[in-house]
Amino acid sequence: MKKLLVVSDNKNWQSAVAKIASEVGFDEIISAEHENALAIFLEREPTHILVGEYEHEKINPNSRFAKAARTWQDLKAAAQPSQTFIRCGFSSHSYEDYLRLPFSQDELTRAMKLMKP
Amino acid sequence: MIILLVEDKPEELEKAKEIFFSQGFKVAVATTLKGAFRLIETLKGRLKAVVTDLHYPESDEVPGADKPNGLALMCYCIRANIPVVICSDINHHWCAYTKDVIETLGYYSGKQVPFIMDKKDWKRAGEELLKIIPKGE
Repeated sequence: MKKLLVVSDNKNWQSAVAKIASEVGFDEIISAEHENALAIFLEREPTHILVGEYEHEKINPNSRFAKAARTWQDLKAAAQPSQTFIRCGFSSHSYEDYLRLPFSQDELTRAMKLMKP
Repeated sequence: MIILLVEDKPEELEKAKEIFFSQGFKVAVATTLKGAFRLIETLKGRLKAVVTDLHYPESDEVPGADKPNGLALMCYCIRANIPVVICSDINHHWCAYTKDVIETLGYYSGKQVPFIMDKKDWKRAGEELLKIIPKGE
């Protein structure tokens, strides 16, 4: 069963991603804000995780992306080897685990290593 | 059951996580004292227990793993009524005073604090956690 956890404080963005995610074949989509993401991640054990609003590695602690960076670090530290992690933002990084916004269904499918439905 | 593991050595972290997963725990991870405090606050009532190494850095900005920050975390957990186990590879011959501190704090607070020494026996730490986490949690 493919279960996606979408982490963002933006409800509209959560809904938009949930729609794309259900179309690419996820069986269950869970949404969380950054504040409660770790607890929900541990309790619900998603197979795939998308952390939104992530900009780049060296983040100013006062920047609006700092919360996302902390969520990313907490979730990755608690991760099991079988879980797939993707972060996304507006920078043009070429990291394997980074998806540039906005992304298409195909880009999400590739990033999450899914078979096309 | 969500627990917090505090350990700064990556190889011990992965070993501990695997063992705790197999024992049925869900594991949040911190590598510093400040990180541990933050995650305890983040997880609030969902956190059932803490298992901590004895020596690790205070924070990423204050490195150096020679201070027994695990004792500070232990005191915090006792005060917050969070079950805590200390798991360290400190030699039992060289830590008589540390043992006394832990036993005394445990005794006067009425909370048992298991202290594993000599080798980081994470399996045993998990077993001790199960003994001290209140039933029904």
